[in-house]
Amino acid sequence: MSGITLVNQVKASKFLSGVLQPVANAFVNAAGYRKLGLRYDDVLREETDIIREAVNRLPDNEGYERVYRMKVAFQYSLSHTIATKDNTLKPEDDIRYLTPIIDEVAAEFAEKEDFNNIKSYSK
Amino acid sequence: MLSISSARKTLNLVPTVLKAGYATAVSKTGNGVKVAAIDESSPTASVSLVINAGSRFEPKDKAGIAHFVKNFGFKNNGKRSAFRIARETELVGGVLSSNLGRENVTFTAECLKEDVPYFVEVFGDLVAQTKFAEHEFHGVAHEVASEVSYAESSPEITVIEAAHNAAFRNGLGNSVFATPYAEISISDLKKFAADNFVANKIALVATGVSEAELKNLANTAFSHVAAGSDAKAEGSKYYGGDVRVAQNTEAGHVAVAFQGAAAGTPEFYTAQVLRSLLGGDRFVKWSTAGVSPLSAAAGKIGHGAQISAFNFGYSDAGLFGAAAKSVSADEFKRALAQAKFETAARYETRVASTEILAAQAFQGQKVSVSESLAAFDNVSAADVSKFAAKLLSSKPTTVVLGRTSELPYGDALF
Repeated sequence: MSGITLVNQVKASKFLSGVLQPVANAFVNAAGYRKLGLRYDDVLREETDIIREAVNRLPDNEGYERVYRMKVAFQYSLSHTIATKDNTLKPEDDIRYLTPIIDEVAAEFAEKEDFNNIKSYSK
Repeated sequence: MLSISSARKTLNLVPTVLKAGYATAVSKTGNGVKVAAIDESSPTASVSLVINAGSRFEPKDKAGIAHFVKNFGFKNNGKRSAFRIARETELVGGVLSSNLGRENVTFTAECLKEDVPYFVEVFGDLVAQTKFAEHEFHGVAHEVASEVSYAESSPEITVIEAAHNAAFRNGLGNSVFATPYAEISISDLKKFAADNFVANKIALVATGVSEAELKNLANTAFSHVAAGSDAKAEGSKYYGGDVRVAQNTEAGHVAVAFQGAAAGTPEFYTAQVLRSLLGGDRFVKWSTAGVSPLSAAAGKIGHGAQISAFNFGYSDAGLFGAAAKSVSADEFKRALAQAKFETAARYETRVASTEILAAQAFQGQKVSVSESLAAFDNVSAADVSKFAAKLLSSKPTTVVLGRTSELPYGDALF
């Protein structure tokens, strides 16, 4: 969410993308969340105000899907297994469905902070 | 939402007649939005966005959608969040309100003259870019539900809504308040807004601003509003009928209404004169001096009785009648008969038109600009009695609310 990022520069440059994209893919596979059937946004820590509000704003069907994926992952965890090759989440299904909502909510919170700290003066 | 008071004027049942009053000062922006302004020399100004999207224009299966639209004013739009609009309004010291009538939904901002450009911009965004976000919908639905429950608990409101419903059925008969069973979704709202927030259904009305300045501001603010089709609304037809609402109220409510006159027509002023002469609301509590026939009758009946006349005018129809609380059928009949007799007598003594206007203002009605004194000067005693006769010839609408087994039927009153 915050921090220095060079994502745009890398995506713009063909050379850098060619070098770094395979590294990124290997990293994501090694992270292993897809082998539990989870998307990246399911793994985000939801115990913060912003992400909790964003999850509340998810459309109903997305919310149910999210809960289902988490249940499946929990079962995998309990049984100390991971998904087979067929059941592993495909890269095209790993959609960042929550990130746009998180950005929206973060903007709203920031706006609220700005207005709470506004300094007014008479002309 | 500290500075938004959407419930403030929800119960203002008297429609503001905006059309005819600004006939001499109405202009249009490039894409057809009507603009009107009165340049008063006061430090404050008020800007109102009037959209022809009242309860009359609700689709048949979406009863109550206009109520939702009213409560969605000043919510998140493409340029500003609802929070930002509220905070910025507070900072400039403005007051926002929204009001729903049978024909129009009105969003108003009262502010200082120098802040008028800001609010015109907000109105432009409201029309063109309101987001209708899903997460806001729950809050709005909650607000709507609480306003509906307030209306249901108020017999006076229920009586008037029932009278309109019986008189006009659909269109003007649609209730201003959402129904408790309304199945409105966010996509329904988006569609209703897309159909009705169009340039030919929008007017921007302001006081304390010059016509030229307002037109300039409107041209920029409403430049992205769709033009809209020329489809005419369905004409209103008066039916009349009986409504009996069973409620466990101590006081019985009875209302009788007839086909009235459309707003802005000469007959409407006759109706206003008749209404003022019948009167009903006492200006000075506990006083019986110089009081109108209906309120005198109510005073005589005692035990909390109240009778008052009403006159609603819409663009192509009207409803004229009297509502009574805590009176028996005989008492009501007698009061109306006496009022009829006294009205003619009173008018002979040339009740001044200013008195009538003052009476309306005092009763808390909005005295519309269109009700200029000249219009009233044209009303003669003959007009009033002719109008009264015409009223009685239309099929009456009777509403009876309370312990209906003890209350009379419509034909017992007439």
